[in-house]
Amino acid sequence: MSRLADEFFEDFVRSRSAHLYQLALLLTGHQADAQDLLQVVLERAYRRRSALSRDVDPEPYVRKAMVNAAIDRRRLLWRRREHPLDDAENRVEPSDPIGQVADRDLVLRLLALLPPRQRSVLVLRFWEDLPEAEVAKTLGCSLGTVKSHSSRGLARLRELAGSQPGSQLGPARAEVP
Amino acid sequence: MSEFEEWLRRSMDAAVADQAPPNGLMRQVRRRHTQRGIRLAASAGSAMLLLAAVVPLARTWHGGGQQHAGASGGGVLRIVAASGPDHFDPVPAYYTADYILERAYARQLVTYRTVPDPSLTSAGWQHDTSVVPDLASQVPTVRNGGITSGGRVYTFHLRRGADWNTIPARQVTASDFVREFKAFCNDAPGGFVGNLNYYADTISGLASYCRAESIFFSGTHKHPVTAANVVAFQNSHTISGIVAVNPLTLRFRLIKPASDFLNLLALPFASARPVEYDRYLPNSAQLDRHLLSDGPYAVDPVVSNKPIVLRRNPAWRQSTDPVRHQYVRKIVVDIGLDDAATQISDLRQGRYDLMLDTDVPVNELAGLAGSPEFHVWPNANMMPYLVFNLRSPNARHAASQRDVRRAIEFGVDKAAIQRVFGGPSIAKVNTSVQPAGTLGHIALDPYPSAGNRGNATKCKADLAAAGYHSGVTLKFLHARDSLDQAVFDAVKASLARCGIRLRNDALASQQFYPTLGNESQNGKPGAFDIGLVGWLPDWFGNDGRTTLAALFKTQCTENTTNYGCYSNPKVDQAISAGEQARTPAQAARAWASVARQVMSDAAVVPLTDLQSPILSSARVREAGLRAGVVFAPNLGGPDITNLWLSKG
Repeated sequence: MSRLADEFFEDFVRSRSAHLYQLALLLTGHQADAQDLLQVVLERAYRRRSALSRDVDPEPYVRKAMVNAAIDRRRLLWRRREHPLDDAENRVEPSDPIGQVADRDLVLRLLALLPPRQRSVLVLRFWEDLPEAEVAKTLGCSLGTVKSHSSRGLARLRELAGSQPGSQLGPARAEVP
Repeated sequence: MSEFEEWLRRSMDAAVADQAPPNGLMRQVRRRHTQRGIRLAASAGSAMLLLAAVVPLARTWHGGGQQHAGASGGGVLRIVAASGPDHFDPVPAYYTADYILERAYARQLVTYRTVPDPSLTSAGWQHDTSVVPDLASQVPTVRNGGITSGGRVYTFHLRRGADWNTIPARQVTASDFVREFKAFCNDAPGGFVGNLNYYADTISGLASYCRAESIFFSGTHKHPVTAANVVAFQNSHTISGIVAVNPLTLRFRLIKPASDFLNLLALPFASARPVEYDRYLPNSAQLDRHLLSDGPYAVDPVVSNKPIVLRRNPAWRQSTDPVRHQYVRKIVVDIGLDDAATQISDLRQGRYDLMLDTDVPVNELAGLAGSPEFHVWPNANMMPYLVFNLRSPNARHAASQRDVRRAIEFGVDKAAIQRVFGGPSIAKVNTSVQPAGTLGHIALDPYPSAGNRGNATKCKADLAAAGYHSGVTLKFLHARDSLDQAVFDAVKASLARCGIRLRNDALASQQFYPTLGNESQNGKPGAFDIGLVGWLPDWFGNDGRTTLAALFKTQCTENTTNYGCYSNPKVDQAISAGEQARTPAQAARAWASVARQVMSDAAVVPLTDLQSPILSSARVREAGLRAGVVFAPNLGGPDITNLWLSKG
């Protein structure tokens, strides 16, 4: 059975790694951090590959592990020691030359300024399109907590976006004279 | 969705859209894993214990995005067919041969697994008839938040990574399901959905959408039925109860709760439909030449009088499909060989592997019994039963008198009917309108007799109670077919024992059902007193809507399936309760009460429940069997995505 579980897991990684990496990127804001987070979480899943191959879809488990690892405070501190926040080299490439999105890196920088739980809720709600109940299950918290993180996170993000003078983005721009 | 939320969504998408992890991710994961193993092994004994705890037990496993143990890939599966499928377009497709092939190229939100099911009481039958996720990532329930508003709203999340075999491959989306339902009431020749009632009765706004479409094409405007006009209508009208909330979220709003709604969505009518199909008229030859697939196999352009060829679909991934597999390399269906005996000898000699649309004839059953490639699987149907025409004026309205009908219930020798179909292992006696294996089934036998051979004494007594002391003569209608003739002979012989004389009228099948169903309209209500009919449900388990409601709800209209115009307000009420039940448990109670009342009224005489014999060539393999194949009840035949060919 182990060979089959291996194949199943590899197939999963092949088909879902791009998506999971993007999720990691939104959760961490850094390419190097995202790569590291993805590897850590996939190794954890690899250990359980036989059990996971019996599920219909291993993604909810991996997603949950990733979000929780990203929130984990100890791990965050450890990451901070390794990568200073202003590590320019590891940033996502700035500025889209076409100009439709003036600074597509902006949203990553703004998200990084939010507390990790608020950030996770916004990413799961608005990028993963998960229903609130599913977000609550992923984070292991109540529906009410998801709602409050979501509204506080949105409000804070709106504030931050509005205070970005170079920003061409978002409806917050309209509030800037 | 506020403007800001929309901005956030778009910005996040744009920020990560073309970002991919570095190459060699799997290698990195394995290296980390090995290093971790070394660290653990180097520490104390407790770490070893931990390792032991995560080593899983090997176990066999069926379905779930994984291959079966011992399965091997490759080879060509060869199928022989008399007339082949009726349709490839999933909207009109409503025939066993259609379903068997659709399994390979058209996926639904939810579906059924194919597992060996040796008896109706086994876990296998439960598995075969319970829905599991297909393109949906999970089966919605109240508990997981997928069923809300008191059972009236169903929300589905689609699997990411399930693709159409377009170039490049493209994600199957919620809109692909909306498109399918919008195509249900199209006016293209033969394109109308196989069964609209199930959906129009349950989904908000579908009936009015269909009325508007009918006016668009046949009302005062009379738009010509072209692909462009069909798609123009579909794109300018909405079905209020079906909404693509976002590309991967689909929401249905129902008129009333329906505990069997998931069964309706598991029917192949509710498959995903790619936007490319909008270029062609539904059910057209052009569409059949451009079929797309989201399943493990793709259909070569269909050319009439040529074999149908299905090949592995490179865009399909096992990890996105918990029920299907991609074992054989190619599937070829040869059409036009309609002699059953020849087909069977072709299978025995290995020229073909499976039969698509031909039943194993009764006279072949004895010769096949004991062969490892031959199995008889359970089914739960009313094949056949006798229906009383309650509108018939014949013999002083004999058929409308309950005591006459009860006399016949007692009089029929069901053991003789079993022999007609090949014996008790092929035909189980039905003593109720709810065969074993249906939800709410209760052991009910209100007209018992020793060995099910009929009770002539009770038959005579009930006939006398109705005032027919010197017997009665009734008209018996059946299709012109040797099996139907044999059933008639058996019924006639058994009823003769209590003074009921039958005169039969055998009609060609194209006249038979219209005559049965249209009696009250065509001015010949005396055309029959007893009809010989059969009923196979469209799904199994929670199947009241597709059996009891179809057969016994008051509906004396043209083309009714309540052939005898039976009508009882108490039964109608219980049927409504069954259809609108929020839970299967509530539905079960309602359907049981329908069965009890219908049997008490003696509206029909249940005869037998035909089981499903199926034969394969010696080289076909399926999980859980030494040889031969499983009969998947919801397909009405073998599951070609579950089979492999032995190398030996």
